[in-house]
Amino acid sequence: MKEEVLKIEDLVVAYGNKKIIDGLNASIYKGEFVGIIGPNGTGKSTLIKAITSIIDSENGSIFIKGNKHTNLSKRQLAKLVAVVPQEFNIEYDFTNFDIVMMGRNPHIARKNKLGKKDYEVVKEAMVMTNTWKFKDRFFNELSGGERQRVIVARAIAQQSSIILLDEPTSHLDIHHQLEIMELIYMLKEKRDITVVAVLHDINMAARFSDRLILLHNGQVLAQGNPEEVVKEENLSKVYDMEMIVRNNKILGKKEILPLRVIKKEINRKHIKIHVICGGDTGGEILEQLNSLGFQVSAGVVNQGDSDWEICNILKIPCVDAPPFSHFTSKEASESLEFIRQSDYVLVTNVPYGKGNLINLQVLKETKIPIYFLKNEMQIDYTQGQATEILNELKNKENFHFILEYKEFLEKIHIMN
Amino acid sequence: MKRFIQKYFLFFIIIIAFITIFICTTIGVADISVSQTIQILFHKITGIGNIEGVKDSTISIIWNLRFPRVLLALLVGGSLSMCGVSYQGIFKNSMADPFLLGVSSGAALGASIGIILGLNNSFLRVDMISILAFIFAMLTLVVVYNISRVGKKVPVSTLLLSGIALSQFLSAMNSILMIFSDQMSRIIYWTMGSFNGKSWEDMMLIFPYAIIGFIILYILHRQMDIMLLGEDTASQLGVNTDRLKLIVLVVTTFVTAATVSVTGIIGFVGLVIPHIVRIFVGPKHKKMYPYSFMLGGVFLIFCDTIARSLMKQEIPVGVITSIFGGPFFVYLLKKRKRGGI
Repeated sequence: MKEEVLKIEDLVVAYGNKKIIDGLNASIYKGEFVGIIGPNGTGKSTLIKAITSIIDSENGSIFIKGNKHTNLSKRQLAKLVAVVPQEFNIEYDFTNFDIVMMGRNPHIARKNKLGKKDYEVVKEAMVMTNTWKFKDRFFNELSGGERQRVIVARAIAQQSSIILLDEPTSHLDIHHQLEIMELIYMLKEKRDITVVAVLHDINMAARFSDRLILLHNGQVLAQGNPEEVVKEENLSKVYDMEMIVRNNKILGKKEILPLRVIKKEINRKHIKIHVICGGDTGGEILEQLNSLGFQVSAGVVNQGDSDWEICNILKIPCVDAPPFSHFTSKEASESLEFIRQSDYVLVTNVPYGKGNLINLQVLKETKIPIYFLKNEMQIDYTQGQATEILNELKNKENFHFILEYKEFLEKIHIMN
Repeated sequence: MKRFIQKYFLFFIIIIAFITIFICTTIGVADISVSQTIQILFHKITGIGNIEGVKDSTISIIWNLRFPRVLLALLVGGSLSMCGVSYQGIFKNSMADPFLLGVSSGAALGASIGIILGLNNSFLRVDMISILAFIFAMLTLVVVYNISRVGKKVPVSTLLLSGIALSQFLSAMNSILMIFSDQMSRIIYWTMGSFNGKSWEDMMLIFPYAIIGFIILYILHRQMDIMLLGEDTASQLGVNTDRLKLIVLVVTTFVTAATVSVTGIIGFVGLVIPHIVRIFVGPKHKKMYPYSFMLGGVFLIFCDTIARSLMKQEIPVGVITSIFGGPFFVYLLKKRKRGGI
């Protein structure tokens, strides 16, 4: 078990009568990167202020390396905890070197002059953050990302055991957001510093944190590794919106895809639509139809296909087949069963091979309206079999070509 | 050029201070030459040289009237400037001056009460009006500080507001006293500030406040720098901001109250000098304190010399500081905007 560097027990912090933090418990261990996530006004920044004694707590206690934080002087506290704020502006012409040197303050006895060691520490911190090159320039002259690097350098120069970050990247563009996060991650790796970061970008938090703490109404709603915390069941309690939680296969992390907050109130459950898709052609359509309130089904799709994943996430019933397998007549009849219960069939511009040709064939069996998304690309990989079926379908009365998905919506709205 | 000025700024100011002291001691109604002035001062300070040929009245004018007055102006100008630096740092507000929290209004009220009560006697060779002014000035801070306290903390924003409120209230009280008193002109004259008739004793009275105050504030220079980053950040960098505020407020109030009680209210120095110095040397207090002290001193000697020699009747020095300081300050601000300096 690693050393517990920060322990928060039953913490209550209030502004006036409003309890911002209400009975919060958390433990943070040496060398961890802990992300604190949660919606606005849930006490994330307040927590940082409470840890650094800027606001007093009403109840509970905070222990930093075993010391109760109210027993520590400001100087002792600053030796243990450094803070990187959201954004930092000053009106005065301090050079970047001056700013970073201020990080040495807790280590300098009042009358002592700045020593050689302080200079070395500051230089190292500035080299590490790639800010040494503008040490003599004024802090005011730097861009947002550069400033934040200087502030990180100041926190490094403070040589504290814990670095607290209060939404350190919220004013930066994506390049600089990533830069700061990587820098802090590197610090944690190289120096074994404990990092506690308040972040509102959940994907960034899941990507860099060893552990996440999800706050809600001033309490811990969930904590654990990102896999355990970034789940729809947790996040939907906290964020009132439609979202998709999925695996980001490139980064190997959980990822949230926020969809929409303002919900369409119209219930269209009485209208049933079957979507024939596959190969990443149906994701957007499935999601939109689902959110518009239609009763949607899909199939046949291969397991592991991204359209199949979307169906799983959105809980859309679908007929599936093992990966790369030829769809069988059993699956075809299941699919046809769905189609029989539907009011419309929507066919995406999925290409056809021997494996999924059945998806086209079943359309011959139905009399309900079929909307077929047409595109310029080749879709026939069956030496003409698909084209033949398509020509047959074209002659059916219930068959319509459409050029884009919106056309489908227009058509069925006119009818309804 | 700017680099050069920055590097040798203190050196320049000290040279200028010496020249100003000599020249301004020489200038006056009685016609005395520079060489005589130097001769007298040199002899009096070092004991070397011979001043037997010089008239007693000349020696007396230089040594007992003008020189202590010039030195007093140096101390008062320096003290007000360094207090202004401190206030502008603590309040992170460029409008802050040493009188911001009502210390001067308190002193004025104390002085008015003294004048109206006709207290012309003195205590330990300090006249009662000054003592009352000093006491009222200190009391003002105690009241403002306690009004502003929220739990254990004293936020600067409430400090500022309660200071302004109390200051206005005390000024109103003072106005009432003036209206119902037959000493109105004396009170008004007192509030405008003057070095008229000040002696070695007045100079020696201010001296310990100015020097001890300077030393304490100078020791705090690094923490004052960090304070400019804002109270929360300063606290997170290990500065005990509440204690720092208390020390600075107590020290500056002692110094300001002492100067105001002796010379009356001399405005503008404490506001403008820190700005001018900051333009030249940057915001670091390690430089701000000594440079502001020297420049503030020189500026006030200069203004006082004009005040006593421009017209037959002496003009209150507070008027001169504003007349000369105001336009010069505006000029600097304009020039700075264009990035000229």
